[in-house]
Amino acid sequence: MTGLAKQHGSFFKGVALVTVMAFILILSMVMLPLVLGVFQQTSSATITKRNITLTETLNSAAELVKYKLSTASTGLSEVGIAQGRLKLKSLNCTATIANFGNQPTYRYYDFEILFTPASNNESGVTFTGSAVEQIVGGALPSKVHITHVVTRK
Amino acid sequence: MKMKSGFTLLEVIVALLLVSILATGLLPALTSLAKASLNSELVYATPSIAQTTLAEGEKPKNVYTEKFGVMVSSSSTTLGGMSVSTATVKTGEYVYAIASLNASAALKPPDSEPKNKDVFATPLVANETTEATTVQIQTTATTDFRPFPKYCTTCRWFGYLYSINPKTDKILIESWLPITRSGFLDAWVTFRTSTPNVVILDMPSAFLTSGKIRFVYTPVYGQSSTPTKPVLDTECGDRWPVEVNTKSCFNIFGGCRFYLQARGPSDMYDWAIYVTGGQFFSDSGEIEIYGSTGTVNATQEISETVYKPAVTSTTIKAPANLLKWESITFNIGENTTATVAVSQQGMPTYTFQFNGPMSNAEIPLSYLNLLPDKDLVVTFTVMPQNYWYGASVDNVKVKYSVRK
Repeated sequence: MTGLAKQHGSFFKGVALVTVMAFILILSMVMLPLVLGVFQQTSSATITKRNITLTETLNSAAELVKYKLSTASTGLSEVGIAQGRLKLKSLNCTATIANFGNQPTYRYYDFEILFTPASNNESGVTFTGSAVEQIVGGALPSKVHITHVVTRK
Repeated sequence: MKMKSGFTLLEVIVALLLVSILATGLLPALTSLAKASLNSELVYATPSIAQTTLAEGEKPKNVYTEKFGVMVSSSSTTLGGMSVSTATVKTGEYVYAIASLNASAALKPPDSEPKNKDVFATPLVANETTEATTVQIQTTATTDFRPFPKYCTTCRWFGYLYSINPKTDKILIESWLPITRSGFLDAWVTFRTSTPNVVILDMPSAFLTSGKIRFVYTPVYGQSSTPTKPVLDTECGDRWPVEVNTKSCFNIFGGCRFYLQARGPSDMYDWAIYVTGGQFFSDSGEIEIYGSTGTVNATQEISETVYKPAVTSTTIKAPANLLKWESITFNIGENTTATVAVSQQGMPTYTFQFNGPMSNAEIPLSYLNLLPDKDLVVTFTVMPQNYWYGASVDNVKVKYSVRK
């Protein structure tokens, strides 16, 4: 074997090493999105949990207003549930449409409910909204409609 | 010598071995990554699983609970009449719980509860609860008056014939006849006197011819002693040939005064004085009954009942759980004008007027600016439209709603 041939053999061995290293690098880069995906999923899980928690809590807040209007002064104003505490801060009657000629009475309310999450890592929110109470000739409302609820930080 | 190119088989195998060895080192990392990925997915799924459990219960099957050991539980309890449903999802060390309130049970009052609470106002007559809501007013005899047309059917020109002033017990005979016109008088009064009374009849000076005056007395039955005959004195002499208990006629122009007085210590008489057929000009006369200590008990003819307005005010206490003042309902009798004033302390007074008859008259209170924490003052003024007949308002109810 001549010296040139010897040189040529060493060159190909170097290429093989580089090829293997590149292969490993490519393999690592393939795994990188997987790793990133896991972290991203963890992050989005927090958002999803928060979203679902707030959705259910908002529903509960609306129910609390219905309950409070139905039971008046005797009803609870603050309840503790799994996701935290709901406190009815205010419930103000803003307007009344009287019952002329055996028509129902409608009474309009604005309300504000504070939500304090059970987890210390989460911050509380305030639900504000409006409700309409319908009374058909009775002492208690026959229907309570929550017109809207807004979630505020 | 031809040179070989490429790798030998041995070299390739060695290279592959090296790659395999290196890849083997990555396997634990890959496994860990897969686990982390699964855990992450389970954690990601737990809120949704919990929400589904709240809505659907534990029945819906899912791959998380069946294949990956996610634990789901739900419970329901009652909190002050509200139902509270809680769903708990556990995967590994991670636990997620969520609850939902439901007020539907509280929104439906039991059927046994009265839907409305009708509350009587404090009775309009406070000491008669059974007839508390009836208002009927009768005047006493000494406060009566009579409009003239009832007694003078032929007169066209008189405003009224006489009236009684209860303070002085005077019966006035008045004429508003213009001097150029004439009218016929046809009137009579009866009343009762006791001894201290002196009855004075003053006929007006314009009393014309052809009139008749007749004084009639009757001792009141049941007196301890026989009454003496009352004395009649006049200041008119023969011009007024009038005697007690006899028909008397006169045709003398000019006024005159008659005195009638019992003489016995406690004689009581029922009197009747008739004035008929005379003609008045514009002047007036009167019958006065003076008595220092005695009283004039007018008989039925004189004391015919008339009806006067009655005012009844009632305060309805506001219950602590008052929701709102709803309405006032009542029945209005015939011949009645009812004025209802509704007020609260420091608030404007609302006044409503109704003409009867009317059943279930209603004043809706809910649109008035009434405060639920203040007492309600309701004042009824019941007024007869014709004073000869009674007026009434009954079955007064103040309705208000209360929170249960």
